[in-house]
Amino acid sequence: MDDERLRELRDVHPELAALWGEAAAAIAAAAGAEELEDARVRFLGRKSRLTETLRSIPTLPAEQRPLVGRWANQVRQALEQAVEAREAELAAAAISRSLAEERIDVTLPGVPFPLGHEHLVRRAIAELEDIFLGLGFVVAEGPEIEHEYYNFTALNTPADHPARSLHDTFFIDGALDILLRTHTSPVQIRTMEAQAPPVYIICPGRCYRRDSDATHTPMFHQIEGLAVDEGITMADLKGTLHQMVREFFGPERAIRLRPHYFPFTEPSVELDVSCELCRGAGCRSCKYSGWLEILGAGMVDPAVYGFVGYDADKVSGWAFGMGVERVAMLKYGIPDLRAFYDNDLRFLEQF
Amino acid sequence: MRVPISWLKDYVQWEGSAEELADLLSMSGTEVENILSVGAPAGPENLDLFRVGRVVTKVRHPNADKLWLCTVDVRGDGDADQSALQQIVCGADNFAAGDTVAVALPGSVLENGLKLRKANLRGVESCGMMLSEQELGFEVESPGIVVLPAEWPVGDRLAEHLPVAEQVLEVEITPNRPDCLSVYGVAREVAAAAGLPLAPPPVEEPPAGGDPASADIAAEVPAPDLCPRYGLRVIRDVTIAESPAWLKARLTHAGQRPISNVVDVTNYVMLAVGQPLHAFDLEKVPGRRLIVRRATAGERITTLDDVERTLDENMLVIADPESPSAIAGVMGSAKSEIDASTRHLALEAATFNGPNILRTSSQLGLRSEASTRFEKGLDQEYVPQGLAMASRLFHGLCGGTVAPGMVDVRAGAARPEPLRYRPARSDALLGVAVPPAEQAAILERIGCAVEAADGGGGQAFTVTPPTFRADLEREVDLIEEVGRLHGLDKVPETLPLRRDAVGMLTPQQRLRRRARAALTGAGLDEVVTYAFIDAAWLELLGLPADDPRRCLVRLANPMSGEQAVMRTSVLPSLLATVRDNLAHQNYPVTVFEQARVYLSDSGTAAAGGATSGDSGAVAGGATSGDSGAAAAGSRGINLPAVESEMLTLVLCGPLGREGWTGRPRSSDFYTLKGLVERLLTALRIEDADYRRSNEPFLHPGKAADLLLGGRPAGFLGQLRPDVVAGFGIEGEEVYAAELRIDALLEAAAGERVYEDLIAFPTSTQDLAVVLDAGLAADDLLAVVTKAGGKLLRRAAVFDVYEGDQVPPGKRSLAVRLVIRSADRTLTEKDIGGVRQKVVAALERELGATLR
Repeated sequence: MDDERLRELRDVHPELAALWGEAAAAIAAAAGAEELEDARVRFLGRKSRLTETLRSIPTLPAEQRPLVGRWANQVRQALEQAVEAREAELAAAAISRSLAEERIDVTLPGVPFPLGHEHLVRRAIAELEDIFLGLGFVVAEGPEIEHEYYNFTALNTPADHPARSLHDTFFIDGALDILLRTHTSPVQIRTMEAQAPPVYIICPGRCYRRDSDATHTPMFHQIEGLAVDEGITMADLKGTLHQMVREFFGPERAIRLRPHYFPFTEPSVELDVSCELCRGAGCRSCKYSGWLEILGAGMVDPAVYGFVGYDADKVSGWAFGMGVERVAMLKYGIPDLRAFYDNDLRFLEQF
Repeated sequence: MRVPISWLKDYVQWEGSAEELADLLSMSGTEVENILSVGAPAGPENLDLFRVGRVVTKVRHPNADKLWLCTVDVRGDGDADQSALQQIVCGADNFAAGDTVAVALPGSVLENGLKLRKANLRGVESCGMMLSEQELGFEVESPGIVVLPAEWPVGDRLAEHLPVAEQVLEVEITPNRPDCLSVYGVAREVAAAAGLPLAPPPVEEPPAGGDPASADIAAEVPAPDLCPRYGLRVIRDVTIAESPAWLKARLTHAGQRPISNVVDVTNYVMLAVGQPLHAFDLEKVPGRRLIVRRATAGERITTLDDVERTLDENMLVIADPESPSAIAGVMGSAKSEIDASTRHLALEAATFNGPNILRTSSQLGLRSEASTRFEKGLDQEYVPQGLAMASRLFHGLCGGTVAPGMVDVRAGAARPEPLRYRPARSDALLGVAVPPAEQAAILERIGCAVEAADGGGGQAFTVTPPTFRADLEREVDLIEEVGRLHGLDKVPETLPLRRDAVGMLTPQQRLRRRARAALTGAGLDEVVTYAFIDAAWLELLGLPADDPRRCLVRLANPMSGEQAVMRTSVLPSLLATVRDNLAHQNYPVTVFEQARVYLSDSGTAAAGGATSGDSGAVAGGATSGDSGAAAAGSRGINLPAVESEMLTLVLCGPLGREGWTGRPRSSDFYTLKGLVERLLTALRIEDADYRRSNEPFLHPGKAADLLLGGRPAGFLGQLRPDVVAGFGIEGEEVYAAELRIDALLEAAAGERVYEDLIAFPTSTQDLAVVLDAGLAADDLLAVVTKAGGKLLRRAAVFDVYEGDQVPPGKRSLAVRLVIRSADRTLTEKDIGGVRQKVVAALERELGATLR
């Protein structure tokens, strides 16, 4: 458009046209803010030829005035726009130049903000708590230094059961009916004593048994689950445990219940989870069975209701007890239980 | 228990594989832990190469003094053609021409995995091998080859007569199922689970002759409570010898060592039908009378393992009129032991009181295959069965004559109670509908007698369990049987209805989670350490005599001195964790643990005015309530300890790692305090005060007690270098804090209420105040806060200066005043007024000047 007008102007006012061409070239060629300012002063300033031309209009013959005036103003506007445009170009170039100089090595590590690590056992407990909170359970707790009544008797454990011996269980000096709980099951009894049904609880916590090798530590953690209400069935146990397994180990894991025996449940079962390593085909980790046992469970034995004053004809329920370390070992592939209690930072900070 | 599958198949016709059998048993409640393969590799081609053979000729090897060159017939077609015989070189001496032997032909793979080839032995070709018992996989050290019964047809596949390739199930029998502690018992489970017919028990009455048993032996049972049934049979004129190969094979595969025919038969019967037996040499029983009585206190007996045992009056013995001859159900003595010269036997089978046997065997530390069966309580009906089976074998294998009749002393038969059984009750408990007729059929399969009750219609049954299932005492026990044999895989998956139950954490549980998240978020690693510690660790802390943390709960039977007492502080365990990590060059070690401490109640009573204050108990129970001495259960049982929860943190080295961007600040008291403050902020606790601490294990100048709402909540500070050294940490400063969760919970009042901080502007004024160096920042702030009035919203120290610019003995603290009003914009005059009041009060009350 400018080119067209420039050609038109050449015919009308060759001098002005030459000025326009010269000025536009100078503005475009300005390599920095100073050069641009020089060009602006030279071609648009008070002493520029363009300004002089405009000032001289009143002296022109009357018939030339409108034409020269219109053209001179058009040229001034065009040049002013060219200066602004060149100014913007130069500013953008300056930013690009300075950013290009501020180049850093983006592969260097960031500032090491400290972040600690949850202990795996505590993390597994929190995960399992959350799963059961979502299923409508509350988290119940109880003493670790416990009376044998709650740890054994009220759980229908026979008086001559080997677990009651000094060989298997830690007892308190000077009080041989007081022991370190061997499972979290006493919390079941305490809860049922304290409240009427329905009961939906899980009980995580420390437990103690006199055992120490690669698969036993004298202190370990269990999570107990108990649901007692009207019409609770073994199908409810199976469905609840499968939901737990799916959430904790992954949605593709299968389960199976195997009949077993515990004094405090009848019927009693063990829960197997399909082996993740071999996907059920059989491998060393699952002893070539395709399944890994993770917990014991069953329908609460009516004898237990007798101890807590529940009516076995009105309510039914199930319970399970699961070793936290065991499921954490399976989930994270930890070969030796003792690693949990060595508390070596190289172990803890992996997770 | 080990169950050889070929033996099991004597009683139930199982056609499937060993793996399928293991699965069937596991899924019906008999856990199979392992399938062992013993002997040669199974497979028809390999087993074809093991044959019954007969030695035709036996001459000395031409080139070796100790070898024999034999020809052996392995075809049995009566053709004495020399060319059809196998030429075999053999080193054993215990056979002669004409003997029947076990032959492995070239190409066969032996028990040890080696493939047998034709071999040139000292210039003579040997085509095969005559096998010893060891080479047959019977696991017995055998000096020579095995000589087989002459009547076995030559040319037969050896596997038709002997378990050349055996698979053995290792099963775990739960304590409620002593009826499964035998091969026949497991076969009964297989039959019930698979719906297969079960052979009758192998207990046919043997042919008998001569005088009745009672002519040779009498029995008395003055302790019928400990021995409800006692039976004896007599076998005359037995010949003590080695057992035949098949019996040795079965015993070995079942995990027993063959000894002699008589001993082997008693063990075999126990493994087959579950009744332990004991054989007495009849001629070594003075008076020909056995008395089942309680031992007298201090009575002694030397058991077969050559140990003299001292008995008490709760232990049962089998005695002759002179002295005890066996500890009943546990172990015999040399007195009446069978030996090579034994001719006549008295064979004992009995039912003993299970708990009594368990008590005796655990008190004497003497457990045997017999005692582990007796201690679970056996069926009285096993007594005649076991005696009949054994007598028959003594007759067949030891050449004995079985005396007619059995000496049987019995207090009364144990008859199972008929049970009322409602199929609908089973469906309601299992959550799966099983037709009543099917439930009845399942119960019949396990040996129950099932009759319709309540006029039929399947609403209820009267179910009488078999005598060998003493565990079936209640309806629910029968429901378990129906559930497991119908199949737990058929139980559907549902979720409980739950109605009004909701899932939520208690405030304490939520607070613990927030606290742990705040500390891991600050860079500390969480640890979990044992709750029992070495009592010496607490000594290292130097606690005063009246400190409640010295009131320890001690274990009666710790596994080691390092795990002897329940800890009253978590600090020592964390110091040990620091020590162990430093030993592995793990540095820095910044860790915390949230755990319980355990105070003996004798200590909590005395704890009233002690530094660490009163002990709050751990919340127990689903809803509320305390555990420990603070709360007895509804049964009024008191516990001798109070369990309180602590949050304990230890810093050794800087928090965070060094990076190229800089080094983390090395930890000091203020790092520790910053962490505590961060924790309190995360828990929304505001009313915190810090006072100089008197904890004996802390640096007296760099330690504080934390007070929340004026109540003690724990300590924080640098540990004394000598205390740290006592834990084996050298050359490192260690900082620690231990806070009480209950105090944190009480102080964490809840959510904050909104305050408008936006509508009106806030002004800040900074003052640099010079005051005595001995005055604490808190002393300064107390004066500032009081003087500032309600327009002064907050005051905090933001800089500290000691040096040339202030006079000696003084220091300068810079304080920032935050001034604002909730309802108007303050004027210069308002703000200046607050400032002036503060400056005046500082000068008046602390002699402080502006710098």
